[in-house]
Amino acid sequence: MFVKIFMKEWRENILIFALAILMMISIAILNLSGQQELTLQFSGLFLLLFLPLAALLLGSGGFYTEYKDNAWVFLFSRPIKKEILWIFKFVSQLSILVAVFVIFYFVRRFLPGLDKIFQDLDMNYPDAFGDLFSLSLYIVLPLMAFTIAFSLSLLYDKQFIIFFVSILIGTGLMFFWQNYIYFLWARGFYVKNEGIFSLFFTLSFVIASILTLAKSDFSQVGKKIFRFSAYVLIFLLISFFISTVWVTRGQIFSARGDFSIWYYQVHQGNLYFQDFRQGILRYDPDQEKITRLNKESRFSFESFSMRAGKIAFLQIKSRRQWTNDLWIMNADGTGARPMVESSEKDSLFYKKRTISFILSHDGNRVAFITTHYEKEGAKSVRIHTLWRINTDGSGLLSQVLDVPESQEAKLIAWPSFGDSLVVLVQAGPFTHQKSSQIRLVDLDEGTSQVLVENILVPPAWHLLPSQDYLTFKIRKDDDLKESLILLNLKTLEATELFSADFLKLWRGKWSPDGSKIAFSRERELWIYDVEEKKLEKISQRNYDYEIGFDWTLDGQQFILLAPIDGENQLVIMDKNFQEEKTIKIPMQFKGAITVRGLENGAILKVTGKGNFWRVNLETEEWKKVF
Amino acid sequence: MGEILQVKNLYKSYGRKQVLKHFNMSLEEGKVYGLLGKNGEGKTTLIRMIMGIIPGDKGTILYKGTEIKFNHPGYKKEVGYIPEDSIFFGWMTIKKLMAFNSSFYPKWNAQKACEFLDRFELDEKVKIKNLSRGMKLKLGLIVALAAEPELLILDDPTSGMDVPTRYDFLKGLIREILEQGTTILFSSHLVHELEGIIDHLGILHDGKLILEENFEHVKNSAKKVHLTFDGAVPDGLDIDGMLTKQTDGNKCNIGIYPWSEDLKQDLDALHPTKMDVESMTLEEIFIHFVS
Repeated sequence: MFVKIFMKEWRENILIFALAILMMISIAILNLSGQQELTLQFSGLFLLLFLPLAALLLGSGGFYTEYKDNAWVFLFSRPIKKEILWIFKFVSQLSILVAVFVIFYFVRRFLPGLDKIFQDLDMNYPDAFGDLFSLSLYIVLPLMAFTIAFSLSLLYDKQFIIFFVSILIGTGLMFFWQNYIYFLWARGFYVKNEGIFSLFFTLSFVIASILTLAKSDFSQVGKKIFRFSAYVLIFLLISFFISTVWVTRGQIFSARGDFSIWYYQVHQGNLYFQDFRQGILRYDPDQEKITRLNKESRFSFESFSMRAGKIAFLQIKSRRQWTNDLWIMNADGTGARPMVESSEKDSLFYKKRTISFILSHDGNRVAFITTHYEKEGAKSVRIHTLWRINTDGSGLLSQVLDVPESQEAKLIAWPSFGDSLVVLVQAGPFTHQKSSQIRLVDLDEGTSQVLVENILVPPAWHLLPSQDYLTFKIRKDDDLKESLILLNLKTLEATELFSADFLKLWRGKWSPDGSKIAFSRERELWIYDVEEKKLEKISQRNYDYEIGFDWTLDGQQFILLAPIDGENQLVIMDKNFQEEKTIKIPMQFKGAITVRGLENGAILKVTGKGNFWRVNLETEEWKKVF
Repeated sequence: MGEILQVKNLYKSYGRKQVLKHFNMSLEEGKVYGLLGKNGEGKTTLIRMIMGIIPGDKGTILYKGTEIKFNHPGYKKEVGYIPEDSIFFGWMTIKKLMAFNSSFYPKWNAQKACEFLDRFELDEKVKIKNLSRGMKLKLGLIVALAAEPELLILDDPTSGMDVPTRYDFLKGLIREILEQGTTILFSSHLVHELEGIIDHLGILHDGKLILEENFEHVKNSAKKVHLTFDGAVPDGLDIDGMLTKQTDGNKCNIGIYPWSEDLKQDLDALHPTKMDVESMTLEEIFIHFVS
């Protein structure tokens, strides 16, 4: 019975399948004929939207032929339960989508030019995130779109209405959920696995659809829609409740709650990091003590700037207006005060949202970028403004930045010399990254100079502590090769450190004295000596893909995470990168580990685990510190 | 013989319109049940409820003494259904439809399907969307019969058939089906077609059965009476069982069900100068009942 229904569904949807194949052949021909630019323009949008749209088209016609030929009477008078029929139809049509996906995948894999486009669409994330992005875009999103549209398709015979209603409902629910997650964040909840709601709400539609088919009169559209709405509302509420518990379970079921850290700094031997719920924390390795620095209970963003004993950080002021305030405090948590008052009507910063900020090298000044909207005729235009102010509140300077629509400016460096600020103007998501550029802005002179264009990777984590150098990845216009560039901000001398097809760069770290930069590519670790202008691969070991590494604070040792003999070990090297010893990591983990060097020790943070581990490099003693 | 199908106290409404109310019916095994009703009276709705295509609001349907619950389709393996309109996927060829449909029925008789295709001169390579209405109905008949049903439900099947096919269907095929022991529920608004075929008659009107009786009994009990009086028709001419009354001067025609000797004596007591009693055709019975 299933086989017959399977064949029927394929036959009915063969045109959609054929159309999909035709589109892919067109792309392949364009690609093979060397029309790269045309392929880029055409296929960029196509590849992004093709699978979700194909899925919507297929799903929204789920019961179309049953309506069209009045064949629902025929099918429903056969000896088969309606829920079984629903599932058979669903699986059969899903197999069409899967077939399209498989062909799509192979077309991508076997055409190098197309794979290149995908690299761009994946935003050059390292594989872990790139795969996640691909998974969402090419599997989860189409699957959700198909399932929702198919579930709705039994309600009405107009396919295009189902098509658009599916888009509206899907995006509406996602929008609602994202705002709800933000609402939770803003109230200090640590939220993780928030994507679970997508699964639950999609399932709600499936269950509501099956129940409606099994219990309703198919011929009565009004009653059918009413019943479906009632079911879906009930299941959405249940989904909402379960998802809320799921995403906040760390906090609900644990006294301490979970936390997430990706940004931290070391100052005077202490580790500073930021927790979603508790704000900025300081870990003192000597006293083995964690101190909470900002006493404000309101949510802080997961980033802060720290220079010369000062910390700048953001706090939400008004969620409704999407504004936040820039605060500053001393490294010991004293003297916390706002630099920006975005909710005061008479303030210069009223309704301005701070999106990026950085402290000067001496910690006496802070620069930040705000955005706000201004009316230009009937259109609202987003304005980026760069500000600089002394931490005592004096000497305010500003300059409106020329940032194209759909792009965003970000402060990435404040060099130790002069008063210039380094600004990254970054393309938003789903635009080609060639348009990202780095500018040098001088607020005193009111000048802005474009240093480099075609940036592929935001270079924040490659910065030298003195912030006098930048490293970033570019792609040359006339070449598909990507290059890793080191830029001396003082002399503006650019050095190409590495050039290859698809530079899969992951981590980069500068030595504490700023003389060397280490970066990992594929499974290799490379060191560039800035003074000697020498690049070398430091080990032939088959390292973990996402290598965790760092120098100790005195720069005398280099710590590297590597799987050796099937076990995760820390490789300790001297300053010349000769192996001194290996230390076995005692705990089991999945996912990436971040390594942070301390004075004669290291801190390890396991992604997703929420724990800090400290190891003493001399005694090889391990201790869970948070 | 027992009852293969029983409908008890069935209700169904569409919005504010009550289509069936307090509807009761029973089909005896191996018989032909003629269900008569005007267009829009709810015959198709009733049949769709029996076939489990749509749910009822209230009431019970029993198949071989077991209650049919909505979306419990096991009994449908034994029930053939021919709707008034085409309900097949237009893109399918006849051959594909047969293959598709056979997967639902364990007792599917492919040979019988082929024989019927020959008999009705249907080419199995032809797509269903290219068939005429009459041919689609023939196809529906084949699809239903090849499943070897114990109960065959025909929902106004002949309205699109050409005359020879209809004749073959009504005079030949129905008999053949009955000879195999299949029970038939024959719904129609073309009343005259059922005469000579049905064993039992049900007349659906205003959402309920206003008559359900053995057809021979109905034929014998439904009478047209023509009365002639000397003077005007008496005012008190109002007797039990009178379905219709038409007065024209000193003449009066009345339809009566059920006819009895007592009624004849009551009419005699009115002293008509002339009284003629005639049997009614099925069409006349139907008209008298629903008028």
